[in-house]
Amino acid sequence: MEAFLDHLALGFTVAFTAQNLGLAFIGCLIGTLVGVLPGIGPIATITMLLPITFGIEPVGAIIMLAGIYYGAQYGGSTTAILVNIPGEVTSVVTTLDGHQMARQGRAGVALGISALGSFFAGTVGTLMVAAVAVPLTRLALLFGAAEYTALMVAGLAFAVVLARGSILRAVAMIGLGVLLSTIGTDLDTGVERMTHGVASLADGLDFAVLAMGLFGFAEVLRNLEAVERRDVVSQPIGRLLPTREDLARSIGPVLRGSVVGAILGVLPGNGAVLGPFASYALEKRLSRTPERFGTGMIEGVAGPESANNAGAQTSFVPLLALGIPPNAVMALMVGAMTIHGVVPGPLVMTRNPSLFWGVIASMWIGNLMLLVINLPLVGLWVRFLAVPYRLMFPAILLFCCIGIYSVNSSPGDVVVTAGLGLAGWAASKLGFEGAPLLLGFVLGRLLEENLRRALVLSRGDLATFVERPISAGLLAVALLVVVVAVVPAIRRGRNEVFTT
Amino acid sequence: MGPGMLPRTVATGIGLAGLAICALAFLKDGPALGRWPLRGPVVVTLAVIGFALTIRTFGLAVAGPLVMIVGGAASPESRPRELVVFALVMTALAIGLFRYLLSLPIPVLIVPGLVTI
Repeated sequence: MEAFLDHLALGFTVAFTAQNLGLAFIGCLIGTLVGVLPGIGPIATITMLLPITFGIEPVGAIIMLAGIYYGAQYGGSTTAILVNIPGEVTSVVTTLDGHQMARQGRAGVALGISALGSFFAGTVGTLMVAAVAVPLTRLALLFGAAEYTALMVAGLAFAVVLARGSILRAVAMIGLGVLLSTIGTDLDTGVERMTHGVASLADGLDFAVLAMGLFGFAEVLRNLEAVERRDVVSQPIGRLLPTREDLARSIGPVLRGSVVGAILGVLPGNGAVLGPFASYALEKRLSRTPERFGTGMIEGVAGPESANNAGAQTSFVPLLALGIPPNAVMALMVGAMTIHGVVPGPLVMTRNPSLFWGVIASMWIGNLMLLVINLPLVGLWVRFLAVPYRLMFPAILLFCCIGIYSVNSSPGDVVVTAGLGLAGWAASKLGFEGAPLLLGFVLGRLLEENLRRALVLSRGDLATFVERPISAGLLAVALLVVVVAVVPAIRRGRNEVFTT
Repeated sequence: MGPGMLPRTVATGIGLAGLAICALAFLKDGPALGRWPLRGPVVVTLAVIGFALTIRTFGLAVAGPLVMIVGGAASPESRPRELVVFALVMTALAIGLFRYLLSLPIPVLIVPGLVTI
């Protein structure tokens, strides 16, 4: 307990410097600003804003990126409530009752309870991250190469099952991501792989190039096709602070949502997406008037929003403690950290404790900032909702171009990104999603490294993965998850979850 | 167990997944393919390539408006005058933000023999 408090104290001394507070603030602010724009989800937001952090030292940059992430998430909820457009899967549920509340002139209360619930959930999430991090890191240090490999396979299995759309397509996209990650010079033997003699590929494909192609350009191309149709509520926003009755109705959902979201968020392979759905289903079941869900019930906003934020918070656990990103957003974080020279993993905590605990403390500060920024500025965000796409996308193009160019000061990278954007757009038209690819790409390098190390240790014997108990257990879980997901009955349930 | 092991295995796996997806397409009707309008992709790609060609030789003051104005034409809803003004304003903001506030090494304006900022 004492160590726990010491760690938090260390974290807060790092996070409470004027510079880091300022960075957290700016991160939350611009994250919300971009995240509010309809059709831009958290992945696209972080990708686009990544270059802004390049000039900042690592701790500050990661604090700012975390702020951008929370801001983007909250901005997405605002869009979900006011415009009925979910920026990503996790805010789909918020549109159900949130948008109905907005139509009844209670948008302010919906936004208010979502901010308050998210703040509470964020606090729970941060405490949980801080509490779990130490034991999990200790566990991680016991892991050998075989266990790491198995853990990543399990994570990828979960990611496949939780991806949207066809399972087979998700498998193919993850595989493609892993394959792309092997481009470049092989670290063990120095052999160039799949470079076709192109000198710039010798160092491998750049992470930022891939992310901006798939989530910057391809997203623009996708959105250009959709006919613009926005259902912005014309009713006034109304009062922001919930009434006493609203609060009384929300306390239970917020508490339950926080716990559900926090637990699911730790799961490898994007368990965080399940949080809001699970919370909504739970509240509906517990309610005395389940039939009224979908007509503007505050419980249906408070619970899922809290679960969403708690999950966003605890999905940092596998990243910080094990160095394994559980979803595409965290994969982006890994990429960003690597650009800043920090390799996430169990060693960060011991070698660079001020970074580790500083980031955790600033998570809480970021949540506080959101509460402070968002509620008073709701009027401003509403005005941003009115920005038409015909102006939004040229600005996105500009920011992406500058961003890619500034990674390596290389115009060639910009051209490669444009090509990847075209490929990503074509793939998504055929039902292949970019998020599993990005996750596969980031995990690919780790996976290969550990796989080969494990095989070297076992002298090339594959049996090592089933002979070591932890590794065997993890592989069994991976197999189980995939088998279960292919069983028709459960597949139907999965489709229902994603089409609510 | 050499450098080609993992890529080869994964590539085989992707190939098999592709074959399976093809085979399933004969067994079950999926959603219709839909239209493939090419105006957006072609125009946006040209705009981005234009940016890549001009950023080193003329600087952001030229490349920025170029990518926004050419790229902006990808949308059938774009209005030329509004787009030009917006492109100039955004480029100015971007120069201020990236070059001066964040001091990233991006050339601002290069006129060969005359100006290099």
